Amino acid sequence: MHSIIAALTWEYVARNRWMLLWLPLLANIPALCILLPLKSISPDDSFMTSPLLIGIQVTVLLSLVLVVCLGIISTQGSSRRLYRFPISTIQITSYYFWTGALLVGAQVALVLWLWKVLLPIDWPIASPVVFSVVCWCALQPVVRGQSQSLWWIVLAILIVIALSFWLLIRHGVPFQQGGMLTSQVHYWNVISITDWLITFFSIGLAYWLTAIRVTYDRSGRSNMPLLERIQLALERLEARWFSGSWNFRSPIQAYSWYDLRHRLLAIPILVFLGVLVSWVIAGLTAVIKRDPGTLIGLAIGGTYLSAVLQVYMALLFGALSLFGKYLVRFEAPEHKLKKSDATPFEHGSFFNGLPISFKDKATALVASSAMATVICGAVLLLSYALIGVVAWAFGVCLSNVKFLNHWKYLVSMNVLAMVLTFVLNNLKFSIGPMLWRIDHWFWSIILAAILVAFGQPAGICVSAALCVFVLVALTASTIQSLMKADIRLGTALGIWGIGTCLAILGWYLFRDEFGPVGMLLLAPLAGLSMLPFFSTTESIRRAHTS
Amino acid sequence: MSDFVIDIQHLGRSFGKTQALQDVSLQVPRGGVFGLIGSNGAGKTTLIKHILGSHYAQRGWVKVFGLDPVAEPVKVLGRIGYMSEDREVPSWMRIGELIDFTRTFYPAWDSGYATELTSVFELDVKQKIRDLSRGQTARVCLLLALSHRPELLVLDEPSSGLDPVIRRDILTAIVRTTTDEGRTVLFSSHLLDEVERLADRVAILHQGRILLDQKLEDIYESYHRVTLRFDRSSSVAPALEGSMHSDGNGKEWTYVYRGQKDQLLAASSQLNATVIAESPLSLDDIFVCNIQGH
Repeated sequence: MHSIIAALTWEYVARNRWMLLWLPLLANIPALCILLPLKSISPDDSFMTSPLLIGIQVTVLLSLVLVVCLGIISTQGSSRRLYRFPISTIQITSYYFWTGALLVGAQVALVLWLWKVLLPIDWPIASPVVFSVVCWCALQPVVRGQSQSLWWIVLAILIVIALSFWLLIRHGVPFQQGGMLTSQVHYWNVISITDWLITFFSIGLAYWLTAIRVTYDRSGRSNMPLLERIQLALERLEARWFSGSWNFRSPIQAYSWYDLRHRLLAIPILVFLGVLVSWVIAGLTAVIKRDPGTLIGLAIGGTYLSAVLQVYMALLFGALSLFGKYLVRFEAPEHKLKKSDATPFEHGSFFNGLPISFKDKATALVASSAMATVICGAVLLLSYALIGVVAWAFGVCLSNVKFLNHWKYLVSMNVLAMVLTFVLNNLKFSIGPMLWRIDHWFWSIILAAILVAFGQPAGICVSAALCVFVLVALTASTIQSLMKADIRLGTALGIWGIGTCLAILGWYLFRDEFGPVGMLLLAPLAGLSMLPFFSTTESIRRAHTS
Repeated sequence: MSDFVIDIQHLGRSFGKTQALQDVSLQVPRGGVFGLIGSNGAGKTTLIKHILGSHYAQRGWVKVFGLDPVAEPVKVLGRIGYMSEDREVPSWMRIGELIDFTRTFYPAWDSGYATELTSVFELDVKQKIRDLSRGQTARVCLLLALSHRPELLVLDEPSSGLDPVIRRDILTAIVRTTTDEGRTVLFSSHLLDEVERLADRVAILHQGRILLDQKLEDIYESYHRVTLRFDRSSSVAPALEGSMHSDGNGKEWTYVYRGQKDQLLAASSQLNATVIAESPLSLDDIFVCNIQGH
């Protein structure tokens, strides 16, 4: 038995060595995208010690735990692949449960330690590690031994919400007007006896439930009958509603519809669920507290959190589209191992046989990415509009809601989330192929070396190098797409014009808030959002014909 | 218009150190059924991917309908009906959705024919692909490949892993495609009884090389199995020029011979041997002889 577990551990590490390396790095990116501009806003680092940072810590920590847990779940795959081995159900459960808990704890500790090294922040490490391990364990009964039902997402969200309350309470959030912005809020520095009791009780209960679920699943018994029945009923309704015909006007429209449904629709759905849950929590809390201000404050916070969530989901999906083949290699049925390279977010061999031009396919993919982003934006906008209506109806003065004092930050973060989502939605075909080209990095490395030689700060060197990299990649892609007639000159000029105007507008609006690093980072962001229009066709051409 | 739907000349392809295709030249004439046979890993799917434009030719060239499938994929793929070996279609779609989705890409899509096939294959358009059996999925793929009435139907291992009923559906579709409409079918298989029943012309691919490319009737005419009786007993088979395989002992030896029959008789008389038995070779025997002889 011991040798089987050892072999499985070896297989897991060998299969996921790159993903395990990438995961903490990927988990860093969005948080650093928030924290680095904040650092540049206050050159004297005063903001990094402000109480507002506690709220950001909670947000970032929740997102970090989510990314790491989902990443480890993806790398572990289904427990079903172990059922054919001569090992007990308890061993299977333990193997997934404890190794995952260990990895989640270690990765969260590593990422937090990295932030403490890179940034002048004094965030605790021990309590977030304990919290992340409890989150991991609490999710196990839901994700292990699940059937084809996707309802586990709903359960998982409920569990995460329940745990989030624990996190908020331990940060001293009073759940009344002001919420995270009151002076009572503090870091979770001490792990109390109650915390340990909650931890041990949650882990014990989660382990017991996970073992039951895996036992049921191994014996082929349905272990989520109620949810499966709900899903079946919904599918029957959908089948009745579905008339049996879709009339697509063009291959672009059809392909765009497919890509949206297959790859990207989950992001707006999750954003919608996030906003909905926020409103429910805000509504219930406001009723208990009899305070409309609480409703507004929590709804704003929840909507903002949903905007952050969309970036994380886009990042996760983007990462899966780039590295997913490493994940499915062991998961795929044996007969498919050599035949298919399709990842959960890729398009398989059937689509390579369809007569659609590379240009049309690229247009469809960019359109579906934009559509997913627009739907997310519409959901967020609707929520903010609703906040305005509710505030007007209850006579709450919005300028008294503390979070809105930072309206510029709120607006810019939402816009940034939209742009980042669009960029990440196009990671596979527009940005991914650019990353591996040394000729695109050449000038960035030269510039960074010159800046370092002249003693410039690291932030300036990195952001300037990134700026040059994106500019080179964008220019090369534009020239290539024009030479191959993938895009018309007028369209190319239009995209460059709009992108440049948006970058200049960003610089103008935030000239006082953003430091030089923030200003330098705006340009590559604008460039990255323009890149899909020029590079996707060529990337698809290369991917199609190997 | 060229007489050949597919024209491949000196095609070479390698993946790292593996030579998947070596100097492959193949011409598939317009009309009829072309069977591509070979053992696992022979290079059949790689060859088909070149025909579909999913692989560019590292050496040599590929023309389909006189066009380069890599340079002009839309013009080529629009005239091809393709069923892949893995039969991978989006599992979350309903059959009706998949049909509606696919028809958008083919201006020549025949909705009446698609409806007819849906009925013949007993498919429910409201059913999700993920709920289908392997055989039903194969039927859906076949429907999608046939409904735009392609000039060239490319089937990669269409019967692999399927029960006899579904295999019959596929074979009927092949026959119907060619006989009713005079179109071309290229199908790869290692189920040689199917190839024997359907193909007009057969090519054997082995380790990336074409070992044989002939009309089926010519193949049968050029392969013979004879049992010869010699004057003297021998522990090893006497060398018969043109033989591919020998088996026996003592004075009686059975040979598989490739060539004209009169040449066989001449060669055996030179060895003072007499033909005591003669039996036809199946495609299976010919395939095995070619593979072993290589």
